[in-house]
Amino acid sequence: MSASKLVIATRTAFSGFELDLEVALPLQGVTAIFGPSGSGKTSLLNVIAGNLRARDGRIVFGDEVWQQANPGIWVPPHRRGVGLVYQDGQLFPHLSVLGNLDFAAKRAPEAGAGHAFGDIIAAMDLGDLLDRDPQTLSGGEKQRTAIARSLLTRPKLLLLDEPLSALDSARKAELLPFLETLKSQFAIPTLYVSHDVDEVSRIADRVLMLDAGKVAGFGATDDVLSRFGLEAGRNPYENTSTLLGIVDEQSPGSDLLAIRVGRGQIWLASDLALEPGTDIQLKISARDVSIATTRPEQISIQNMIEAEIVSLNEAKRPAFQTVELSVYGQRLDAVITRKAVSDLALIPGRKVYALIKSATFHS
Amino acid sequence: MSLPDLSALWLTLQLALITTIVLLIIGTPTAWWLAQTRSRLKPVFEAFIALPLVLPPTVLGFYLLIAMSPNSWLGGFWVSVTGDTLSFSFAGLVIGSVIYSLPFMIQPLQTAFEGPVKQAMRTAASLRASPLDAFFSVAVPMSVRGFVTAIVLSFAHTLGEFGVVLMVGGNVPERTRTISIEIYEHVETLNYGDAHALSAILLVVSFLTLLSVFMFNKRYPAHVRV
Repeated sequence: MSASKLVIATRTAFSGFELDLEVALPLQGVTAIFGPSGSGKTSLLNVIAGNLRARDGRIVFGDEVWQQANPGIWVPPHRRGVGLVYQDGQLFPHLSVLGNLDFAAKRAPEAGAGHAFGDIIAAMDLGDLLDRDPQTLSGGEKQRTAIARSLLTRPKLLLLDEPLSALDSARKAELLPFLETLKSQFAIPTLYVSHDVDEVSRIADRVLMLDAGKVAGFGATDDVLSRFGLEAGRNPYENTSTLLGIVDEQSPGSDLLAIRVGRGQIWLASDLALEPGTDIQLKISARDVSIATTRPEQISIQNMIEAEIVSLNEAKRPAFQTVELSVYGQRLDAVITRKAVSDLALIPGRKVYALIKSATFHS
Repeated sequence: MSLPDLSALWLTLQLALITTIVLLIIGTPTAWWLAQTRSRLKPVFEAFIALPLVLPPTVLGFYLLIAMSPNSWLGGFWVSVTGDTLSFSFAGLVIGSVIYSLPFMIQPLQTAFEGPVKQAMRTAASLRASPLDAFFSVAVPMSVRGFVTAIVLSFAHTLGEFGVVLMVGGNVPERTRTISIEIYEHVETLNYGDAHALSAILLVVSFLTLLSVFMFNKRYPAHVRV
């Protein structure tokens, strides 16, 4: 069994975005599907589960073909044996916790190995919750019930769609040990969607990195995370903007690049040598962007570009606000203090200068 | 005051009951389809189903009368199969009432089937439930309120119909003379006593029907949080 793989090959546009990848994932342990919001993680899960039908897709699970174009094969979701656990658990509101679990147990195939009802209840610590109405459960309890419910169907493959994302950090810490139990005790091949480095480095054996619907990297967890400069404790995708630009010139004898973004130009430090005319992507963390209302005079500050304020939004911490800027039509987010917003009288529509302290480059 | 002839009341209750059952059978799949479809024709179907809400019943009744006349294909087909005309018959009344009350069955069901039920169907599929299994084990129990509302509104709306019945059914005692027509008849002949009695019965029956829905909805949780 250890040689079995889940092969997914698809090139399909879904509402304004294309999932274009070809991967063979080992059906063993936990594979994290990792990437920023909108990179196609959840779409990929839905393609595997059969909720989304990729027009040009091929999905093979071990020696079972689930989807193929020619000759046409389509295995409907309920015959795939895929347990998909959604972000918010998606417990059935008309059934109690026990009713939800029974729903799954009754539909499990007779044949094949499976864990006993009692073992699963114990592993997810649901003994005291069986009579409860799902609406009265905490977020973590809902997730544990949803995971137990999926396990009871004896799935061949478990898909977890950001199971911790709806929880606050205390509840996350509570649920993580259950996910580790899930991995060690039940040994069901699992795909785990996340955009949290901490979770991934704790749980995953390997990482499939997605970006804009394409595979950006695939390999052992530590390798992939270090290749992308991701260390635990830092969430690169928390709030990162991408600006598309063209290399204008490289200043001779220095590590400064002039990059054209729209009709503006910005100088940024880079150790890459890039030909003028190269297309470039700048990934900029919102924390690395500050805002000035007048053009700073100092000659040393060249890492700035004209921008217009689009909107002011709440940030994670109450003392801060997220400012959405438009840089020649491209979106750039900045996180600055509430005090600065009022001191500078920042309002939507105002023309400002965005100062960019650092950016990572992808050509 | 003697009790008026109650045969019209029984006929009306029968009509409302049969109409509601027929509507439930054809309305449930139609509402399901409307809730799931991405067809560009969806608004066309929705507008068509909602027509009885805005059309004068006489207009609807007029077209139905023409469709049911023995010279039309529908009416002619009916005569050749049953030996009886469709217009001015109880069967004709049922067809007219089904069309007349269609939006009252379909709209509450469609609303119930949209939203959380859709996601719950996907969840059920990931728990190995086939679509038909999931429909009865998840979609229906999650839509109890929608079903109760649809059934009661269709029933009550049929109880009170007048224009369509008059156009399609005429006024044949025991066959097509429903309570609203009987009341009209009594008023026309200045028999206010019987008109009063029948109106009061219809008023009380309608009120009790609606009261039962509102009490049910209050006691029974929707199970669906939007």
